[in-house]
Amino acid sequence: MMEQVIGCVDGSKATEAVCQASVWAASRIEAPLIFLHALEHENLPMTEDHSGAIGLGAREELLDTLVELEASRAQLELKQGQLVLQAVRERAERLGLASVNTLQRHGALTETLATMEATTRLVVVGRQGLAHETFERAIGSHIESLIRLSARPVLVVAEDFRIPSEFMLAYDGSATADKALQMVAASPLLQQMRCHLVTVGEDAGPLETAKVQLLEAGFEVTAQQVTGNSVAVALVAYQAENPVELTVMGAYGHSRIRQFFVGSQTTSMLQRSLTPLLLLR
Amino acid sequence: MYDKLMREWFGNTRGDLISGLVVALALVPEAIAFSIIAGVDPKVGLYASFCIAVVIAITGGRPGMISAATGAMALLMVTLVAEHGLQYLLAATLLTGVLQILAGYLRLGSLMRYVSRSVVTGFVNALAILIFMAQLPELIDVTWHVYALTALGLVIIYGFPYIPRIGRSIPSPLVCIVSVTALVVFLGIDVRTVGDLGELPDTLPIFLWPDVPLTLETLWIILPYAMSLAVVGLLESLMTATIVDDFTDTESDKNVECRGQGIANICSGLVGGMAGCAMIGQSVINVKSGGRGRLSAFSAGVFLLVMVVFLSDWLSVIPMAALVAVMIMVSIGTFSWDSVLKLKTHPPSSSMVMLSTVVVVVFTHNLAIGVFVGVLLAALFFANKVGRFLLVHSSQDAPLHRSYRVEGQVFFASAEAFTNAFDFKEANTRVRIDVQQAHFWDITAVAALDKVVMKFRREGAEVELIGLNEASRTIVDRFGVHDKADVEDILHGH
Repeated sequence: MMEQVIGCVDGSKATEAVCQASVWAASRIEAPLIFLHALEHENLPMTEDHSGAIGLGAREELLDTLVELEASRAQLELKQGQLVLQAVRERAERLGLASVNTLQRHGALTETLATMEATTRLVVVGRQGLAHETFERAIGSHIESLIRLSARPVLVVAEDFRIPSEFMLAYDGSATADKALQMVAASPLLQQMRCHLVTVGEDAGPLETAKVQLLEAGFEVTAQQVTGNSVAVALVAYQAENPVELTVMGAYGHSRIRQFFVGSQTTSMLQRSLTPLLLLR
Repeated sequence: MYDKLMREWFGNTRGDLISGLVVALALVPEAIAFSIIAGVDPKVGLYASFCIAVVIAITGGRPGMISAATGAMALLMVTLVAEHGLQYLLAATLLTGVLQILAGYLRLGSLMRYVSRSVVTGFVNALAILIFMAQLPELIDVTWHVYALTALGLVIIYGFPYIPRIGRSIPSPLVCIVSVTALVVFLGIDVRTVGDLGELPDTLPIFLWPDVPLTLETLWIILPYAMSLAVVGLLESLMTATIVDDFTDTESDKNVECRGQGIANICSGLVGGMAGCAMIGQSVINVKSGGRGRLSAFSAGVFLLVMVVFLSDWLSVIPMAALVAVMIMVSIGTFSWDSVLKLKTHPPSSSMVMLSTVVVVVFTHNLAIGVFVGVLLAALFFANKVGRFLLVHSSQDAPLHRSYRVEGQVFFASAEAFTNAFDFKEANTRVRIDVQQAHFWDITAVAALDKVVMKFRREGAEVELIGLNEASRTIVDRFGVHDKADVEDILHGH
């Protein structure tokens, strides 16, 4: 089976952007596109009976009630998901993709993506799902674990998506960044686009070698050194001042424990970024 | 991993805390009642319930399940407590924990697949009957006041939830206990109270090493009890876990649960509590009240301790009649009413297994023995049924040439039927036995086939055995004797 682009949709505001970004990516790298809708069972109680009394047949009765309630909810979600999938599929076909597949699976999104990993080329997700739409800076509940668990690149889009012609590559000389650099150089996704190679901090040493690598790969490169209170702030400032439409970076180079103490650049970029983020592990 | 843990603990915070409170209120009377069954002070059961509920919340494999001091376990301790005292019970509790952790590491949780549904139902029904029977001493040889109070308690428990609005927001067992206690205190009725039965906890639990001699003799005293406790504790816990799995449509880790139960029991033993396990009734109450996560069991334990330590003076005036009413509710709620209704429609063998389990438990007061008998019986019934899947066709190919075709399962339960299907009196010069469609499962089957082949040979027929499929061939090749020269000597020796 061919490696495919997976667009994860849930009917939230980001769905349209995910759809467009998936179509763009799939046609750039000439990979099949599949839209995925994960039916996540929150499994939260819907009835509250605090009487604490159990009579004859209490177990059977409770089981029946729970099954009944969940069945009606699941049917609704299933139907709604089908509608979302149908809508994005038609949209993708109008945008010019010939064959678009759709898939609906029960279970957590991260779990479903893990089972599909072997045939995945790129995962496209919205920054916020249905559950977090009302919060300004919140990132979706899965995004972080999804990126941590995924061995494949993840493209995170906000509520709108424009086809990019210039992208920024955040580079810090680390192993994660080097890997990201190599992937960018090798992938057809970003070919012929203008690259802003940006590093934060004083040390300009590794920037030159990175630039050479990108030039060799045929990119038009602007190398730039910026400073700021934090890496994320500096990068976002650069995004604001330059015509950058996509940001590429290595993600979560550190362990969760380190993140707990010093915070994560990736998470704060997810919260602030003005452009879609392509995260490479 | 981290996300999963966060979800299991804080995925349903409000629901878990409220259900934890409901469960804690229901746990208090149960813990006291089960201590009384075991013949120890109520504080032993109350400390155990606190400790087990809190520890299992952290170590267990089934979020949303409630574990505490239970009737099934209490019944097994009676003679140990009567003959050797509390300290030996605490030592046995520690050993139970060790055995359960061992079972978890040996992955014995997967042995649950041999416990059929009928046995589980039998176990649950027997448990309900035992809990009910344990209340009888409180109801025999007492004044009419006790009957009246118990009846009133039951009316409150089952009637209160029907009151609109408040009926489903306040636990009715609590209403029962409060109002019956108030009535008794107010009218000054002289009935037995919890305070008459032993010491209630007035401090937080403290670490205690059981005061027993660390000798082999002690081990031999506590080992049989610890083994029964470990088995029954795991059985009830794993059964309850399956029930909660069904309720919440989620999976649980049975081997983690075994180890968790072990750790919880060790902790309980070290703070002066008795052994416990998962509780079917309380877990139903928890799910019904909206509990799903680990926080529900944890908060139930903490609320229980807070209530008990600060309200111990009040607990002692609770009349036994109120507790009996709550326990009758628990036994009714635990009993599987469905199984009685379906007694007629289920196959008789399944009903037999269920009823035998119940009868054996009620007579021995030991759920482990009941389950053992149930499993054994279920296995025998199964062997009998599969043994009927055996057909031997025979046809005459030519004069003095007979051929047999065997289909189905040949093993200890069907070997005799297999042998009897051949006609040895018929005179033949050539016999073909086609076993292509048959399975030979054990050495009984192999010996039966050997015997058939030999018998035909002794009657002067030439025997041709064809189509032994691979499964049969491995067994036949390893144990068979019919193709060896001294075959007759060997068989005659038997």
